[in-house]
Amino acid sequence: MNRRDFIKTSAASAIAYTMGHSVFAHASNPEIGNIFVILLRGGMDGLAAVQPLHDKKIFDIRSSCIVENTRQLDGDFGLHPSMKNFSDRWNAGNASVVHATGFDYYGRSHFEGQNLMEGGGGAPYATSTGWLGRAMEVSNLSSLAITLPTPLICKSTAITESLYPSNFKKNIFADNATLLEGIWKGDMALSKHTKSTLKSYQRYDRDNSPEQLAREVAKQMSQVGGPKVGFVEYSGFDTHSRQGGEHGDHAHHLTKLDKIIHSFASYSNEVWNNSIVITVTEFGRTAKENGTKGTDHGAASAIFLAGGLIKSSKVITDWPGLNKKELFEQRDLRQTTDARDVYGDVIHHAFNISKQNIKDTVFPGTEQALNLDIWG
Amino acid sequence: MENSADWISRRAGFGFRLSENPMSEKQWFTNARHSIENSKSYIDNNRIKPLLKSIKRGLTDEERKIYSGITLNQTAAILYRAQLWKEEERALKANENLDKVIALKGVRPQWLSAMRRADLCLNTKQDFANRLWLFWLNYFTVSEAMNNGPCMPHFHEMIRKNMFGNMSDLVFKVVTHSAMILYLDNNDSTGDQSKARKQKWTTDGTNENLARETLELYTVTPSNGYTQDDVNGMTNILTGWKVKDWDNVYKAQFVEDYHQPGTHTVLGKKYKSTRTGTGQLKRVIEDLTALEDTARHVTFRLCQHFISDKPNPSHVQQLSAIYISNKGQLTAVYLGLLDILQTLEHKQDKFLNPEVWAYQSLKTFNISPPTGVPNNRRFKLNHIDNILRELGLLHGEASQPNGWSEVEEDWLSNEYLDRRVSFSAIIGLNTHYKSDTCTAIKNSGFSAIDLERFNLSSYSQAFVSDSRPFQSQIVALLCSPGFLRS
Repeated sequence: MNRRDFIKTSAASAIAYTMGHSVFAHASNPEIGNIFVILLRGGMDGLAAVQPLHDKKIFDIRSSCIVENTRQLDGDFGLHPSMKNFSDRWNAGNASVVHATGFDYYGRSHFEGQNLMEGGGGAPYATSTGWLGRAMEVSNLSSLAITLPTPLICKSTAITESLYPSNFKKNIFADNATLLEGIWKGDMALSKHTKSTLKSYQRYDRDNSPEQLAREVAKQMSQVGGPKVGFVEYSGFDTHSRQGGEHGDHAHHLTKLDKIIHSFASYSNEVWNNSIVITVTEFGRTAKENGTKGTDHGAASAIFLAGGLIKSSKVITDWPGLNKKELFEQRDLRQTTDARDVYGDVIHHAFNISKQNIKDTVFPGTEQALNLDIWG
Repeated sequence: MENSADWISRRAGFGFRLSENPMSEKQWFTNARHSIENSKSYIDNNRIKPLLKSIKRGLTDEERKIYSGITLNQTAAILYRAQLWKEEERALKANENLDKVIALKGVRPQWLSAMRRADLCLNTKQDFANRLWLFWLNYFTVSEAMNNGPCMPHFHEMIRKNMFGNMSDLVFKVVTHSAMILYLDNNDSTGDQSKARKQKWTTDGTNENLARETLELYTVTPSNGYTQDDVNGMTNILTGWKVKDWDNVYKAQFVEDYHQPGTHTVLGKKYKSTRTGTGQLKRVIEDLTALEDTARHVTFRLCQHFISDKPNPSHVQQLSAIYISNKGQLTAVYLGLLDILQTLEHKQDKFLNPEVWAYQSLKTFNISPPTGVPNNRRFKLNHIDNILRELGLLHGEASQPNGWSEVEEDWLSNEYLDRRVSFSAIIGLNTHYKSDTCTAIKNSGFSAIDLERFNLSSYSQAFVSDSRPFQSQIVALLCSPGFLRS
């Protein structure tokens, strides 16, 4: 673990790298990268997903939530054993983790937290658009969200589409295009959706398991001219009670997450090489186990990153420590890396948007001085 | 000429039947006020037995007996529990798959609740009261978790019976109901210095989930500025409230042995633990619900549901003042809301959520809710819970405790619209969704007078009239901007 050194060096390297990247992007890789977003609602426990190995304090403050048989990452952290596929990607040099990160939010409310993680604003409910929506608008890119309802994160002033498997058969009785165009003509809000609603009629498999949805996203993103950004959601990480360790509820959720990543990787074909998968969650959970063998709402969590755009596997963190005085209000892991700087660097590399532009339009009020240094 | 009730019946009720003549607006408001002021007749209007009678196939006599009591008393709960056990044991012994047990535990209770809502909303005349009921079901969202499925219909009935009293009593009943206790993890929350811990009956300690949401969602909201210490205080107060007797699963109770003894502080006030636990919890809820923050939150939510996505601050102010001066008495707030509704311009500017839209669609054509009984999770068009789930809003299945959105922006998406188009196309054609009104329209089209009642733009009216075939006409009406909004 580089402890405090990390932030110091990264600020300097960010500038150098930004310059290098722009040359590189235009010279030999003019193509825009793909981003696949997995929204993890409920607050993923970063400490269980990626458990510190040398910070022995964790064994004092957790017992039933301790994860045995973790998979080796960088020597300082162990990956939850459920995440086999992510581990394979790690070993191939295509996966990284950012730890002790968050949206500079310590209020412990799901709904404020989710608004921040999607809106990317400086305060809850400060913005009505999403940070990826704004980034896509800047780059003029399209997205596909297989979610219900449409998540804030992909909303912008442009039209946002989302799909989800339905059991209803499509309306086969009429010329739908004429019908919908006719009904909604003259209504600004509704007519914006005419085209995309007609598109929803191309129903696919009714299986709505998240890995199936990820597969659909991957297939569509890998088509020529397909969307550049994909979204799926997985809820259930709110493990207040009987969270489990190597096995149990939280392990089950991580298995699902691993399957989603694997599914995207398997079905995105060569698009994978030019993609990055990111996880987004509203907060981490209390460092200390609560009274019912679970964890309550906390502060910092971890971010999983995977995909061909990543050229070296790292755990990126400025580890804040788990001692009582190191924890926020003596209970939560502190956020030492701003998640908005992490996602900003991802957008910068995937979409080739300048950091200044990201500061101006995507994440106002942030530094954007971070270089994850995983881009090869 | 007297104003017709068509607009207000769509804004604050379930619309109107084309086969019936318009009511006057004055009459509508008189009826609405009457149902609020005489809430006993609303509460006593129990249609569960005729409802079950109308379900001719799919339920055994025993189930019929159980369901007819499920909403009413605990005897039914015990019977229900016993039946679940019997079924589970039999299925396990026979090495069968547990489809039927799952159906009884989770699917049937959700279905029963949905049947009950559709029946009351479509087949009684107390529209405004029923809309308030749906509002509160969302305000106090409980979804399936920790096997609370069988408690759900009872929880929904409990809200219906208690929503005309005081906010503080309603919140107390909600947070101490087994459905909620299980959903937000309070069941095992045990005081660190409780007898249960000292005697090592359990290693469990506290769990703050219900305490936090009580502050955040049901009462003061984060704008109040409460701290973690307040959440801790509330958590300690709630320790010991649990489902003690699993044979009597509806009845959560206070078990002192699991409670954190002593005095707990919430928002600067101290609350001393008592033998029964009731007094302490009641006092803190009384204090929380008496605060301006709660008044503002409750009335903002009401205004957002009935008036506008972005409520006019003066409306919220007006209702908040009524809430405060009536000490959280909810009927006074509802009557105040009716007063505001009566002054509104008749604009079609509030997007209907999928459930209200579905009921209005059925009512327009005088179609009764379908009565199919589910045996498993497979989709069928004649199961009302399936329809509501597909359209996007089934109480009991919201993904998070803040429930379903009240604003147009979240409902107006291609996927949700597509589902409304699909469902509209089913109306009048599918065997489960036919009626005399549909047949008449199929034969001779909509009359101009019919269409004028919806206050559609002249363009929409013409478009509906000119659409062919019949299904397209129905889609054109039910998905027109003027019908999607009210």
